[in-house]
Amino acid sequence: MKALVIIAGLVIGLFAGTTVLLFNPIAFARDGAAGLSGAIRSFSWQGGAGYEGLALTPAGLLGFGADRTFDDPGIGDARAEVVALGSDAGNRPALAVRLSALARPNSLLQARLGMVTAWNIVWPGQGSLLLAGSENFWTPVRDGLWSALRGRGFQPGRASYALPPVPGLGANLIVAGSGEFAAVRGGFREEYSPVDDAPGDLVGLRQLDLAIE
Amino acid sequence: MARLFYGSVFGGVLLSVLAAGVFPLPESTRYRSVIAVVPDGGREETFIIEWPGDRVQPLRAAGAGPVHPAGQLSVLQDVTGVTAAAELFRLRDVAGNVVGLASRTATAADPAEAGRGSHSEWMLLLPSRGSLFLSQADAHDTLPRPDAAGRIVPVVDMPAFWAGGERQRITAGPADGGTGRVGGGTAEFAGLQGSYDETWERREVAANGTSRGRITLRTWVQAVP
Repeated sequence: MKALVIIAGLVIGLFAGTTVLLFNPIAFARDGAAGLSGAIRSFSWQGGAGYEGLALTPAGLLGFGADRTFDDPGIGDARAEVVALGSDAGNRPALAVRLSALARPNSLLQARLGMVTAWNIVWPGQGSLLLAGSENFWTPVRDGLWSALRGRGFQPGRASYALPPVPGLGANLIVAGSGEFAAVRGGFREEYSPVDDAPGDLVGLRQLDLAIE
Repeated sequence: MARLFYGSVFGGVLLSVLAAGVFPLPESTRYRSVIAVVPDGGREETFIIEWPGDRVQPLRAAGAGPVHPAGQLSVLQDVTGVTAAAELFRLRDVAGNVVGLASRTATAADPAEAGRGSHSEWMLLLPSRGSLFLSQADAHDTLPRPDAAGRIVPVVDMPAFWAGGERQRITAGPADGGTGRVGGGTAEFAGLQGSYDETWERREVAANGTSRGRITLRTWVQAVP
């Protein structure tokens, strides 16, 4: 009888502890999208169409399984993508390279589960931009895991998630530019929209909002 | 019995919090940085890329919209030809360790850099250290072109590119001394600016015309006052 009580208590305690961690109030305080100032241009792309390296899944972020294709230990947690950015305004497409890697200050206790990112976007005949930032996946991972705990599979519930910068890594900024974008300043933010045909995948439809001051 | 139950619940909560605290989240291996201190301030660090072995091709055959793969390159093309190209590589330190990923994009010359070759930019991402962003005017046109068979090939595989010798300095400005510009960085590279120099060295040509060689990026950076 005693053993049963202890086991029942531990199971309930572990469930309660996991729930408290998942719904960490720190995460709610940081859940908003990064504020941007200046004219905003939005670009969308289909995530996961062309990448090499770490797969953007909960298992990849947490280090489970073999969701990575780089064998070299120095880049085991890195990811390289080449995407075509189409603008909502119907401008000419841009060639973009996106390099990313697991953020070093990731912490389950502090609701930090993200990637550092670096962008190089080239508009032929116009110029280019270099961007540096980070994205915290805590909220979509939390919602997906909560859904999985309730037996519904990994299904983040919202239509779209704004991905705030990983706390401690600063704002997402334009680092440099050339051509028409020489000497510009500004910032950016990224959004992720889950898609039904790729459950458990954190790429889905992506959007980049670029603010140039 | 109730005390035992609530004690167990508390123990379970504590266990889950402890497990989250000690859970080994993945981190890339960090190698010792090979950096030289420059006598008049700043630091020098050299990065190496061996082609074709270090090339990375993220694109599948279908490509991504108007961007498509051309061998190990990714190109954006219109009716006038290739308008922009991206090459991705594993990045090595001078000891040969793979320390990060690097991307090189090339496009037509920036009007502000007229009279030179193409304009190119490097992004170096070292997962354990941060990112570094470089840009330059190229001494040559480094945009890939179609060969006689109509295949788009990288300039390193074009015999005409090497007419001037097996070692080519690619950087032609815009910083002082004809060096490229280090525009900034993140994490350990945050607040640093400076210059860099890019050279390509061809070491071997295969029977099918493809080449093997080395790209060297020498960077000189210092903290922005």
